[in-house]
Amino acid sequence: MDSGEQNLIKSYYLLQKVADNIKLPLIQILHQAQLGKINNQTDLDQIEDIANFSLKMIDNYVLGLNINDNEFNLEPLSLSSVLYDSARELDKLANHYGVKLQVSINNNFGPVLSNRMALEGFLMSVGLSLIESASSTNNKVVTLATHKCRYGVVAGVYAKEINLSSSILRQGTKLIEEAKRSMPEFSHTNGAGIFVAEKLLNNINMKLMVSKHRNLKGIGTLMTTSKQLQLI
Amino acid sequence: MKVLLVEPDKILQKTYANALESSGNVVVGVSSAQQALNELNIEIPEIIFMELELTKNSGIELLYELRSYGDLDNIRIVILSTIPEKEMLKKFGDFKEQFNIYKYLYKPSATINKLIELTK
Repeated sequence: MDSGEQNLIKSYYLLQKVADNIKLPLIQILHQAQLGKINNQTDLDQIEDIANFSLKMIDNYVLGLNINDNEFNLEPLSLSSVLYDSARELDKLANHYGVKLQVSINNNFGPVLSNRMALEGFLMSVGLSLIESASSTNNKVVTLATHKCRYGVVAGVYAKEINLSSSILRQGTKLIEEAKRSMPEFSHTNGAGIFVAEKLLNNINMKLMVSKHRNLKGIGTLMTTSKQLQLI
Repeated sequence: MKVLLVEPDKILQKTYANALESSGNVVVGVSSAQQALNELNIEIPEIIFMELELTKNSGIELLYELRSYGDLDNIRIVILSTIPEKEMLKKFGDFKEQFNIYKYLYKPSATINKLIELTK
């Protein structure tokens, strides 16, 4: 291993430690806000929800690094339950951004083989990015959806007026090491949520892709249903 | 309820102590395993909330100590930690059963209301 690789690994672990360290002040903020609410202080919901969500983002990032092996065992999953659970979490944050969150499940596809933690992490990370992006458009609606396609079932997060395409995503992936904001067409933030989501999916051999749901654009992932699993 | 709070972070220690005291508990807050053992020599609490990541002696060492004394067997132990439970299970196997842990709370998803509820 050359010194460049050693430095890279060191930076990788250091970044994980930094992410873990940032959790402490966020936990302090979260729990002080909850204490304030118990003591009848008002206007603390937003602080509580944002701290809570930031902690989840850090956990997703650390999970995506996959430091611990065997974290991502595949399991039969009901997509609708994963979508509704993720929507419940995202809804609080969407409210603060003035964004309406919807869930759209077209059919009952039966169970898919995936990993709940990775899939929920993917939906939450992408969901946050789309909420941030949609909040500055005229159509402030974000939809968590699943639909059938030729190759299987797609689950993802969608919005109407966001500027997102395969080429923007490809370019963003290329620019992540060089540019401060790798997808300025899509978001005013650095779009880190998308890349955290991509890492989570890669850990279960799934891919992040630009996708369409009815007349909406967004980011999804493809899964196959299994006839055998449908018996479960 | 008499509560022993083993929390190394002073800000969190104060937050949790205020919350638990506001619901009528008597709280003694300490920062380390050694201080916790000293407190246990003075008074035996009904419940202990403890972080596992402590300076010098770890929370696991404190658990070994706690569960080696017969007169401390009945204390409810609640882990309130920044380490996810899954990670602990991987490292130490079924430590919850081994140390008779009443509840494991992961700090980012624990709520102040939950802490109060556990003292009722």
